[in-house]
Order: sequence, then C-alpha cells, then structure tokens
Amino acid sequence: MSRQKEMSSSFDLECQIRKWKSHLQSQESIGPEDLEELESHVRDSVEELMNKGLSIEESFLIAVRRLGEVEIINEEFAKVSTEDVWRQLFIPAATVSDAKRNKLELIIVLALAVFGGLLSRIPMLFGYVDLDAHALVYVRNAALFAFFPVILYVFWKRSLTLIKSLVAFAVCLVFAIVINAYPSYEPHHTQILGAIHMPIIMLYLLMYFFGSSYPSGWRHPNTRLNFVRFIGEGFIFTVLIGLGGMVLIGLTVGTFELMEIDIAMFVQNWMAPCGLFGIFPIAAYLVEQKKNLIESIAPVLSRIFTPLFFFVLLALIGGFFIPFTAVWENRSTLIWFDIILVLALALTLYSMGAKDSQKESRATVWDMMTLALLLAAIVVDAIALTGIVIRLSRFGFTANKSAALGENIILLANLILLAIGYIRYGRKKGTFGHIVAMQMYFLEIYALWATIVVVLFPIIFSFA
Amino acid sequence: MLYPVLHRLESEQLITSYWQSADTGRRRKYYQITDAGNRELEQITSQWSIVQHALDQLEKERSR
Repeated sequence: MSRQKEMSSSFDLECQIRKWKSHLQSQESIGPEDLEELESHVRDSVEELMNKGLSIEESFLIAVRRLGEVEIINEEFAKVSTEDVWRQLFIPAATVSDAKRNKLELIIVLALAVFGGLLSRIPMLFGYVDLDAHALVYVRNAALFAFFPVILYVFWKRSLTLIKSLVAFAVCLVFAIVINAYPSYEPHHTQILGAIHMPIIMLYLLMYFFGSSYPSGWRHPNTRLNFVRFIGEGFIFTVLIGLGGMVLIGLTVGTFELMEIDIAMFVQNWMAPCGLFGIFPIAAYLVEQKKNLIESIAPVLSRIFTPLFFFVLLALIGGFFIPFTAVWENRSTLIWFDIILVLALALTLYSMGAKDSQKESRATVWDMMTLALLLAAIVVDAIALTGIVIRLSRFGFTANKSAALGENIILLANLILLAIGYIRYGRKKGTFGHIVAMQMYFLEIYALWATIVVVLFPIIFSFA
Repeated sequence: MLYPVLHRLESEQLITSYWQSADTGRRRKYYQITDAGNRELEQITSQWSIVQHALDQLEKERSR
C-alpha cells in the first residue's frame, strides 16, 4: 500500500472502517471474533483492489459492498451464531419441512417426558406400590428411568440407524435385567453400589448415541467434549426445572391441605415421580434447542467455584494434618472426601468444556487455578486412599470398601494425569488438546469400572 | 455469505481454524479441511456427479 496515495486522499480508511465496524457491532448476532474476521477480510479486499489501481475510497466501498448488507450479514450469522443468547429459544425454521420437524420434535419430547414418568411407575405393576417399603426397587432402576427416554430422544434427534443402535439398546436391556434379576440380601450393599454406578453406565451409552452422528465418530475427543458440555448444560436445566417442580409440588400440597383434601398419596405416587423422570428428556431437548444458553454461564460458574473448591480442599488437608486426625476411624468422613473429590473432577471437566482453546492458546491464570485444585485434590485423594487401605487391612475386603478402593485409585490416576497435562501445558510442552484427549479417553475406564461394580460385585460378594 | 458457512462447517468438525499473525502484524483466521471434511466432500462430490450424470442423460434425450 503506497503511503503517497493514502496521504493524498482525503478519505480516511481507518475512520470509515471504524464506522462500518460499529454498525456491525450493533447487530446482536455478530460477536467480536466474527467482527475481527470480517474486518480482516475487508482490509484484504481493499488492499487487493488498490493494487489493481483503484483509489482507496473506491476500494473500500467495493469491498464493503461485496461483503453484503450489514442486516443480511447479521441474519446469516444468527443462524450459526453462539452469541445471541436471549433472542430466540425457538430458532425460526428456515423451511416448511423444518417447521414440521420442530413441531414433531416438541410432541416427541413431551411424549418421552410422559413415557419417562410412566416408566418409573412400572414397578407398581409388579406390586411394589409403597415407595418407602420398596425404595430399593426404585433406587436401582432410577438411572434407567432417567436416561432411557433421553437415549430415545437423542436416537431420534440424530436420526441414527436402528441396526447400529440395536447393540446399545441391547446393552440397556441386559443391564435392566441384571440389576433387577440379581438377588439381594441384607444389608443390600452390592445393590446400592450398583444403583450408584448405573448412571455412569447410562451416561456412557448416551455418549454413544450422542456422538454417533458426528462425522469424526463418538470416540473422538472433541465429540466427547461436546457430550460433556451437553451433560453440563443438561444438569443446569435439570436443576432449574427441578426447583420449579418443587415449588409447584409445595404449592399443590399446601393448597389442598387448606381445603382439607389429602393428596399426599397422589403426590408421592404420581406427581413427584412423573415430574422427576419427565425432566430429563425436557432438559435434553432444551440443551439441543439452545445449545449456547448456558455456555456463557459455564465459564462463570467454573471460575467462581474452582478457587472456592481449592480452599475447601486446603481446609480439608489442614484439618487432617494440624490436629492429626485418623480419617480411617470414620467411614462417613471418607465418603465425604470422595464426594468432594468427584465434584473437584467434575469442576475440572466443566472448565475444560468452557474453555475456548482457540481463543486462548496459552495457559491462563485460570488454568493454573485448575492445576492448584488438581494438586490439592491429589493430596486429599492420597489421604483418603491411605484411610481406605488401613480400613481394608483392619476389616478385610467388603463390597463397599473394595468399591471405594477402586474408585479412589482410578480417581487418583485421573487426577495425576490431569495435573501432568496441565503442567506440560503450562510449560508449553503440551497443548490443551492433549489434556482433553487424555481425559476423554479416560472416560472409558470409568465406564469399565462401573460395569464391574454393577455386574461382577454382586456375584463376588454373594449379593449381600 | 462465506463466514457463517465456514463457522457452520467448523461446528460440524468438517474444517478447523486457527488465528495467525500475518507479516503486516494483522491477525488473520485460517481454515483447513479435516479428514472428516474430506470424507464428506468426497461423498457430496460423488452424489453431485450422480445428479450431473442424470441431467446429462436428460439433456441427451431432449436433443435427440
């Protein structure tokens, strides 16, 4: 670009570009990165046109003109945009057939919500009417009731082939039979363990359905990271709808109480369970509809809670070492340790999904915060593991202790691998992609372990 | 519009993108096709050639 030409012209390119940019910026669908990309394109075009001998003013006008009307650009971006959060929950359908499919989808989702609710009533057919007396029946099947409708929804949504999915459906069925056909004797530890681990298996199956339609396949780390985001967002929707549901139930019970009509049985047997298990397909639907609604909240949540969790873990370590407490004396302490560790891991996954690794190619202070959290978690896990091993040597192998041992070893391995990944990333020896890939393949191990606990533990520990 | 299309392709993992500073110091976004993108492209190309073939046949019929 010759300086002479620029000087001689009274036309101020920078000023014009700024004006054009601010006009673009006022459009809701065009984000800062889109803006930068468009600006870069216009500047390139201007340069190219000027090389052909056009004046700077002509070049700018043509370059902008070629890019298109600002409103039309905005409209196009709106179709793919991730920025317009509040604008539309239901993106207007582009064609008539799309509109039909949207309507069909809504009907299917509502049907699946009802189906999920009814699914949870199946035990009633087998005579398990009283929730309190037969709580175990409901607890061990809860994961199936919750996830099966979601699996069906994803199966429909992604237009997966039946043949391909048949194996996964069969796996579902096998697990349903296993958890219900295994006998269970007092104190029912293996069955409760199975109930706790079933959600992991169902999540893994759901991941298969979720990822199958991606061109890179369901095993690809990026696909799996998308699934992690999907679950994270689904979780928030579930909690939000659940809170609303609780208010609704509270109001219903309260109002009927004033009218002196006893509806406790109806609420307990129908309203609460149908409402609860109806939430999951609805939440999945909302995430699919509005993929990015939470995306702007997820980074905020992970940034608020990563430091807080770090301090909680520090406090735990302090509480352990300063008045040297023998954690293994107390079983409940160990359980709470584990819950906190799992949450710390979930938080790491959350910030992983929230991180835009394209925008931030270098490690930020938040990545270092995550690393600090991981290191603290490793120490806590080591303490918990010591406690478990001591308890094992003192009381021998029981179902609960073996499960805890396995979980803590896997968790420790996972945390250490993550910490190594973050350290390498921080020292620029590895990329963030490496960490994601490692973590996403590690999910396999959780699924495998959960399967062992659900299928083999009852046999090993003679169904007690 | 080119860019929304690129973004859509990217979200479907058919292409990847990265920012790089050019010699002039300005940042530019570069796009690159992925393996999955190549596969998709191959598939679409073969579908297109089927359509094209069919149209050619029709045209031949007409001009005969």
